[in-house]
Amino acid sequence: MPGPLHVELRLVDWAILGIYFAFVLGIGWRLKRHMRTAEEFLLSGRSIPSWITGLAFLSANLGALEVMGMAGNGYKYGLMTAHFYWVGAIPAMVFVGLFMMPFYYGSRARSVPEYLRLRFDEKTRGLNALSFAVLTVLMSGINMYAMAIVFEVMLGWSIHTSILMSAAVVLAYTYLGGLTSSIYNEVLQFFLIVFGFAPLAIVGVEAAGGWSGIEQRLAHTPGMTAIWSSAMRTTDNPMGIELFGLLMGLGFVLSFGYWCTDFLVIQRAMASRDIPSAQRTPLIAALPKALFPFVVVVPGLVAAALAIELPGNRYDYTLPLLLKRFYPTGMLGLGLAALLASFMSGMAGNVTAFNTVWTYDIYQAYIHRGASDQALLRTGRLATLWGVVASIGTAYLVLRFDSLMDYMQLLFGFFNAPIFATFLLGMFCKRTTANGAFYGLLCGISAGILHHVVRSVGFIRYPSDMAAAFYGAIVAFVTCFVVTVLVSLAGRAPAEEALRGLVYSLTPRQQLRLPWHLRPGTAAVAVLVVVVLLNWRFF
Amino acid sequence: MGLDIRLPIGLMFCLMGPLLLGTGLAEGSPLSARTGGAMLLFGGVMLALGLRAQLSASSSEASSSSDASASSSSSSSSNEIT
Repeated sequence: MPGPLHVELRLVDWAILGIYFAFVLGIGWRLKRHMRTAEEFLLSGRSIPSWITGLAFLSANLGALEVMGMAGNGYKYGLMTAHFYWVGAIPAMVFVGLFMMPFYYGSRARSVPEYLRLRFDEKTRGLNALSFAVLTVLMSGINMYAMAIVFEVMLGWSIHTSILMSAAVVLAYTYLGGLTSSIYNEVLQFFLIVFGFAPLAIVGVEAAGGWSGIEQRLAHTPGMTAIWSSAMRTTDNPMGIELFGLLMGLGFVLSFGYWCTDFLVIQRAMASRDIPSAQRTPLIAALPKALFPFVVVVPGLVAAALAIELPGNRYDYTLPLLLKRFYPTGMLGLGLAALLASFMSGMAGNVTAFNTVWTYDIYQAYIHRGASDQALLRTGRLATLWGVVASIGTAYLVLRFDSLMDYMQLLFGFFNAPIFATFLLGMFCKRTTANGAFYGLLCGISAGILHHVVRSVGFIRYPSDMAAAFYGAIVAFVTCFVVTVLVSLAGRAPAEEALRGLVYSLTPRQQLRLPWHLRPGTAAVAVLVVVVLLNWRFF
Repeated sequence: MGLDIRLPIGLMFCLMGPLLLGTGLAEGSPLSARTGGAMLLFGGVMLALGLRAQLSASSSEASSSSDASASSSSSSSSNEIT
C-alpha cells in the first residue's frame, strides 16, 4: 500500500531526471581522458577559476544536511536554524578566506593533514588523516541514507536498491573524472538545487499567508520566528540553547572547526589557480550561503506553520512532504532531481576528500612510501571505490537518529572541534609543539566521545540533542586546547626557521596589487554587511 | 581541463526549461511555466557565455599560431577555459 509520501511520476518527471543523470555522468566521461596523473585526479591540477571553486565550496556542503536536514530543523527548531548560516558559517568562511587560506595554499600541502605534518610531525598528521577518513565515510553514509529514504518513501523502491543505485552513479563520475568531475558536477548541482527548491519556498510562504501569516500561525510556539530575541534562555526557544552555547558552541567551535579545517571544503579552494583565487573561494561561497536559509529553512517553517503531519515523527520527511504537497507534474521531477543533486554533491565531496587523504596521507605516508605517480593514481581510484562501499555500510547507522542534523553536529563535535584548537594554536602560536598538538588532539577527540557516552547513559541532560552537540563540541575543543598548551609548555620550543610560511607571525605579508573589487577584503566586507542586515531584520 | 562548465550547465537547463514550460502551459500550472521559463533563460545565458568564451579562445589560438609561424618560433597557447 502506498505511504503518505508516495508520488506517481509521469513521463515529463522521468525525462527531467533522465536529463540530469545524463549530464552528471557525461561530465565524468568527458573529463576521464584528462586524468593522467595523480595530481590531476586528486587535486584538479590546481587550475580552476575561483567562481567555480567558490560554488563547489558551497555545493560540497549542500548535501543531505543542507536540504533535508535544514528543512527538518526549520520545522523542529524554527528560524533559529538560520544561525547555522549567519553565525555558524559566514564568519568562519570569511576568517578562513582572509587568514588561513594563504597558509594552506602557500605551504603547497596537498591536504589538510599534510599541512599538519609540515607544521608539527608525522604522528599528528596520521591521527588527523585517520579521524578525517572515518568522518568522511560516515558523512557520505548520511547522504546515501537520505537519498535512500527519498526513493523509498516517494517512489516505493526498496531501500537497499536505492542505496546501491545512487552509490553506483556517484562512483561512476568520481571514479572517471576525479576531483575535477566532482567540482564541475557540484557547480551544476548547485544551480539545480536553487531552481528546484526556491519555487517551493515561494509557493509555501504564499500558502501560509505570507511571512506575517507564518508568524501568526507559529505565535503559540515561542522563538520559532526570531533568531536573537529568543536566544537568551533555554526555555525561550525550541532548540533549548542560550547565548553562550550558541555563540561558543555553534558560532565558534563547530563553525570554525568545520569551515576552517575540514578538508572536504578546503580541498575545493586548494584546486584554485593561485593564492588570491584560493582566498576568494570561501568568500564567493559566503554570499549565496547567507541567502540559503530562504531556500531550505523557510520551507521547514512553512511545514510547521501549516501543521503538516510527519510520518513517524521524522523531521527529515519535511521536504519530501512539501514537494508532494506543492509541486505539480514536471516540478516534481525537478524537485526530485534537486534532492538527488544535493545528495550526490554531498557524497561526492566526501568521497573525493577521502580518496585524496587516503592516497597521500595514509597510503603514501605509511603503506608505500616510494609509490610512483601511476601507483598513486591507481590507489586514488581504488580508494574512490571502497570509500563508496564503506559509505553504504555507514548509511544504516543514521537510522538511530530522528534528525540528520543532530547526528551530523555530533560527528563534527567529535572530529572537527578538537582539530580546530590544534590549527588555531599551530597557525597563530609558534610555541606550540608537535607533542602538544598530538596529545591535545587525541585527548580532545576522546573527550568528545566520552561526553557523548556520559550523556547517553543519562549522567548529563540537555534540553535537546542540538544543545548536547554544541556543548559536546565545546568540551572537545577546550580539552584539546588546554592539553596542547600544557604539553607544549612542558617541551622545548620548535625552531623558528622550520616554521616560516606555516605560522602567522613568522610569515611575511605579501602585498598584492589587485583592483579593489578583486581584493579578498572587499568581498569579506560585502558579505559581513549582508549578514549583519539579515540578523537585524530577523532579530 | 578543456571543458567550459557553462556549456553543459546551459545545455541542461535549455533542455529541462522547455519541458517544464510546455507542461506548465499545457496543464495550466503557472508554477511549472514560470520555473521552466526562468530555467530556459538561465540556460540560454550560460550557453551564450560559454560559446562566446570558446569562440574568443579559438580566435586567440589561431592568431597566436599565425604569429608563431611568422616568427618561426614554437609557442603553445592555453586552451583552458573553465
